[in-house]
Amino acid sequence: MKILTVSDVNTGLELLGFSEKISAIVPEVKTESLIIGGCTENQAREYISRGAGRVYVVGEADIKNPEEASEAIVAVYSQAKPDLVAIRSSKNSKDYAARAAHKLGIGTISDIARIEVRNGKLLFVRVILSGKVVAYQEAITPTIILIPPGKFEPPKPKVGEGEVVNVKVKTERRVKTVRIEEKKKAAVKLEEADLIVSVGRGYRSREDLKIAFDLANVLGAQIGCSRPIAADLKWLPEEHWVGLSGHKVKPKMYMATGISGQMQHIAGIMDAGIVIAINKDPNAPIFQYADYGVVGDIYKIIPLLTKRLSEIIK
Amino acid sequence: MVNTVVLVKLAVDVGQLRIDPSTGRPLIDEAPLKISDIDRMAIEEAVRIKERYGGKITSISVLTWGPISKRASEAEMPLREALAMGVDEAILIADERLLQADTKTTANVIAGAIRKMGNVDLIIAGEGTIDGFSGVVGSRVSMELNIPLITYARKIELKGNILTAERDLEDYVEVVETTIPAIVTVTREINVPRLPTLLQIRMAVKKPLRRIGLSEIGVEVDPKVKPFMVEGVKVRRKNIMVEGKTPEELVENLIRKMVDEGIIVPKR
Repeated sequence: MKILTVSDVNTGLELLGFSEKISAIVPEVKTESLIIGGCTENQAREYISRGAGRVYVVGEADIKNPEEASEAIVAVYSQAKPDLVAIRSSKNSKDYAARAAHKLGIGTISDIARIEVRNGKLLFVRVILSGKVVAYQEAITPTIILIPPGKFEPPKPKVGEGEVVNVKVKTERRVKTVRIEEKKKAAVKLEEADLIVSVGRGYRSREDLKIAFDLANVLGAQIGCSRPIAADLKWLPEEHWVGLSGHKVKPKMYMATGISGQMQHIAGIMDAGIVIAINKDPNAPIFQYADYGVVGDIYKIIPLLTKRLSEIIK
Repeated sequence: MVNTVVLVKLAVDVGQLRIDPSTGRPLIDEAPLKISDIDRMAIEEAVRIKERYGGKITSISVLTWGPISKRASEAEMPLREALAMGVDEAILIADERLLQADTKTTANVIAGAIRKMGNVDLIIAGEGTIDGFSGVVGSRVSMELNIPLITYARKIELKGNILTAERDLEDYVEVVETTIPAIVTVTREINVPRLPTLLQIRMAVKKPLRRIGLSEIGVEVDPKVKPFMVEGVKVRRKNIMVEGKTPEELVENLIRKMVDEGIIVPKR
């Protein structure tokens, strides 16, 4: 089996981790990497040392432009002839992966949760229906696999043999970029947080969130929130949003405060360690998805919890 | 006049999806269908364009959840809702061979239907559907029709044949511009969709709702991903309710659990 990883120079090493994982299951896996947007010789060697037998570099294409990125994939695909194309999932990458796949007449499998082998068949596992159902998908190769960021660790570097090939691609843009507006740099990376205190509609005003921030401060936790807080009320920026369309998190502890527990929210905390829910409604669905539930008024419980924790944590 | 096509997924209503407790299998066939959440925003955006420029809105839906005999009639209600929101004609593509169709097949069928219609200026879809959430069908349709594509639009504006949009990406917003005919996928943030009244839904009975099969589109089906097996997600949670009659007791007992789980380390 041959795997082609596709990325810019900074984010592709974890895709080699995907390849390493596959080679533990499937015999004779060969891996090659496509780097879009150019890189130095040393950077390409880094890919070779971690498992790529060949590195294709398309210097002129901009990975942030889906039209150019898809053209780069199509061009290199015809040379590499892979069975699986591994791409790190993002909004833009879904766009160019779909374009490339359709041009190549191949399949796509979006956002895999893990890989599994059953009856000798390689299956890609996806979570669908807002987190309620696991789908086991067998790919007809060749296909493109979209892998959520951080799913696999880059392999350890070894002495590797490989070549670097520069590829020229002709691209044409039909959609013109007028301007780019940077979003405020995310101060929090929820995906990497160890502890998260998350807030929902149980809070009556933006000012009231202070009690949750105080608790997070004592715990050394990050602040998360449900969809309405970020998307509708805009009390917190999107970087705090946990859920299907927000961030999918995997902290040691996730504390949902004043969150009722819609499926779309639960989909974001599937990989969380211990889930604690505090809600005054004993019938709130969040309790079904919690390890520990506290039925109580967040306005009473949270400040008290903060006070007691500040006394007992070193 | 701007003629638009809206892609409307008839999604499994996940809120009403039950998992069989004895087998762990999701009872997908029993859960009702509804308009996929983000596709409501797509419909709303098309209606706003129609209100401004005139033109016709056609919705296209591919039925991917079976059983077809039950679903095809069940699809009428959500499609009537789309018609009540302002869609002029709803097309339902229902065919045994499209159940659990992969994204390539779905896109080819949609593109085939659009090609048959002709005279389409703008295609609007949601960025993804709430059931499958693969987020690639819109992009595939653009490739099949060979027209410009703008994904993840949180705002669009049409002036003459120039379409401007704000693409809402993870770290930045990209303002882009292209000419129509084009396809755009929208995010939830683009608008607040109107809720049709029951009366409007009843009135929509007069609007055309056409059911067609694959043979009427003339597209070959050649799936690239095999239909999948499903299992209910097993939520392995402890579901322990912390006891206590007063907030003080609740907090003390919760802290004890947090210590037991190694979440916090009390000072000695």
